Amino acid sequence: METWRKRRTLFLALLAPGTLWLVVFFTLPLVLIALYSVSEQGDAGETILTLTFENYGRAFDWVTLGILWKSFWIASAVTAACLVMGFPLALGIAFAPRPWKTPLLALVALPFWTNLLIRTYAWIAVLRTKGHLNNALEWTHAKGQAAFAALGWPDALGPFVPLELLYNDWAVIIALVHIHLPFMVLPLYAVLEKLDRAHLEASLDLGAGHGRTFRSVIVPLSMPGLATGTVLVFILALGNFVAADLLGGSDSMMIGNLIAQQFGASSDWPYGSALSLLLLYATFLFLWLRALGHRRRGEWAPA
Amino acid sequence: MSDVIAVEGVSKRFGADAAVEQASFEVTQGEFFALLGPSGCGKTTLLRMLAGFETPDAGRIIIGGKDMTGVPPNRRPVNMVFQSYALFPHMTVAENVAYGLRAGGMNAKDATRHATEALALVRLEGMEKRRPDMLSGGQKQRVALARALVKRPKVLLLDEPLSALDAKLRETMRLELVRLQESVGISFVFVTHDQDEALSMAGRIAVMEKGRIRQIANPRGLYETPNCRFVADFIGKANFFGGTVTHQGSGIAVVNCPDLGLLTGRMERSVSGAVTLMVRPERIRLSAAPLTDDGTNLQGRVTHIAYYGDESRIVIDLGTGRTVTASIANDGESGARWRVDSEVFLSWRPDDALILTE
Repeated sequence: METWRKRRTLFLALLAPGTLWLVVFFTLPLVLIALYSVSEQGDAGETILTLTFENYGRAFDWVTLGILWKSFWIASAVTAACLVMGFPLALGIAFAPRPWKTPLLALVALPFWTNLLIRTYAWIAVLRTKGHLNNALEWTHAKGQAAFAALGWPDALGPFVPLELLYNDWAVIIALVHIHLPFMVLPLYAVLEKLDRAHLEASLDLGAGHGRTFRSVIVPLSMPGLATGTVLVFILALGNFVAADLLGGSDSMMIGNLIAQQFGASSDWPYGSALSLLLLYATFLFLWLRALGHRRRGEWAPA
Repeated sequence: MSDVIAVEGVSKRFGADAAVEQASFEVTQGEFFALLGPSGCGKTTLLRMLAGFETPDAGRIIIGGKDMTGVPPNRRPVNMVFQSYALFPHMTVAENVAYGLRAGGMNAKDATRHATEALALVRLEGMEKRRPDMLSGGQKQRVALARALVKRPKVLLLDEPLSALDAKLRETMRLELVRLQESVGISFVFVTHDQDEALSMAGRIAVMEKGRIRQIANPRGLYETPNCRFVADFIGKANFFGGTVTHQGSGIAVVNCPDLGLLTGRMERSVSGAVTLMVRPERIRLSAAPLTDDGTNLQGRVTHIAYYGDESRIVIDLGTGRTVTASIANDGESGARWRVDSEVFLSWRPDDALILTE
């Protein structure tokens, strides 16, 4: 770094494109949104900068708070599910024989190759009343019915009733878990891969079983990856609006949908901007909590 | 039943490579036993099989009278000091030491008390609250020792425990390990590639080469009566002369070396045919005139003198393209007698050379 600083022109030349990009496409829009959030809409739909905090006030009505609450619990459920499924997966890949690791990692990252919308739409085909899952259930039901009929119990299982799997919170959660699982697995894998196997052997050697070794050694030592994965999944799930839009029921609106609505159908940009900034602050709050946890655990934590 | 470990014909392969072949030995109660050999000789694999991290392909391991086949590492009455120490970085020193006790079901209060005692044993009082990354290499080593010893294992396994320390500290820790072993009375099985370490610490040493145990003996036995050329070469320095046996009797054999004539040495058992005669550098006597006793007498010219402080090693050309290394103590008398290019007579008594058949 020192030598870079000495070569000032080169340093600035390399720094410029990135900085410019961020200023033009990130910082300036953010400032614009901040300005919108303290503006009002005139009668002709024009935006007037009035430095009002009314838009923020509007966010604190019961309907919006309800939507915010729902967003938080859906994001939490998604994060928890990703954690429960992602940890064994990451552990499995990290401990797989060397030639297997890269293909397995590629499989985890494979969904990224498909468009987000298509991945979300695919769940409609799986979950709808005449979808793949219900078709499979119906087929099983028919086979069961036939088997019972052969044993002399015609119609023992009753008529097949397809499950209502689509257009509810669960459909949203399932799709969000599917979309965000790699964001949990990859950071976890990164720390587990670097985990010194001697620590695990030491734990076993000292008489701890596999359960205790997992609890007392593997989990604490993978905290950096665990925290990164959790924060990533939570923030991404919180801001997602495609899944709720396509798969959610009439009451499945998430904060992302509400914001999208303000910039779209409702064309109430000031309110949408205020909501966006509130979501941003909430996100910062989580990042701050994570950093706090990091500092408390001391210097040993890598990254 | 004084054997705490009995290894019976243990073999282990990794793919096509034999890591350990037909290893057998016993370790008795309270013994300091070393597994010594160059890197890749299988000594660490053998140790890891004792700990349970590797499974033997053949043979069995008996610890404390119980067959360990199928017993996982956490159920074995042994504990290990890892080469990297493997201290848990997220726990304090006291938590590290108490970990094994807690895993064994001891309550927190007793575990803490035992941990404090174990830390006192390795002279780390007052370090309980520190994290491993705040310790020096020597301190980490002591924590690793305390963490393993606090479990009161039947055998303590040590994998190159001193290799990560600097030279001076290593010397100190050797003495300390021996002191510790004597005070706790637990058998130590110690893996090292450093012959000085093994010779200065162990009661008995097993020398390994390419997965096989070549010789098991006490340090003096290994140095003075190696059973093969590999052991003689690996432990200390040695001069070797190949030849055929011409006479033998009363523990002494005469070997005809093609370019040097007749050489004498002692034999451990009756020998015949092609053999190797081995002489340690410090057993070669140098003189300005030939000595007239019944030993071997040779003549040569000094080509190189390496000064080591306590001794000097003198390389002598025997005129046949063969060189011999002799070492002389720098005691103020013999040290300065020889110069490069000096003509010198060298000799050894029959008892100072050993006939090797392998």
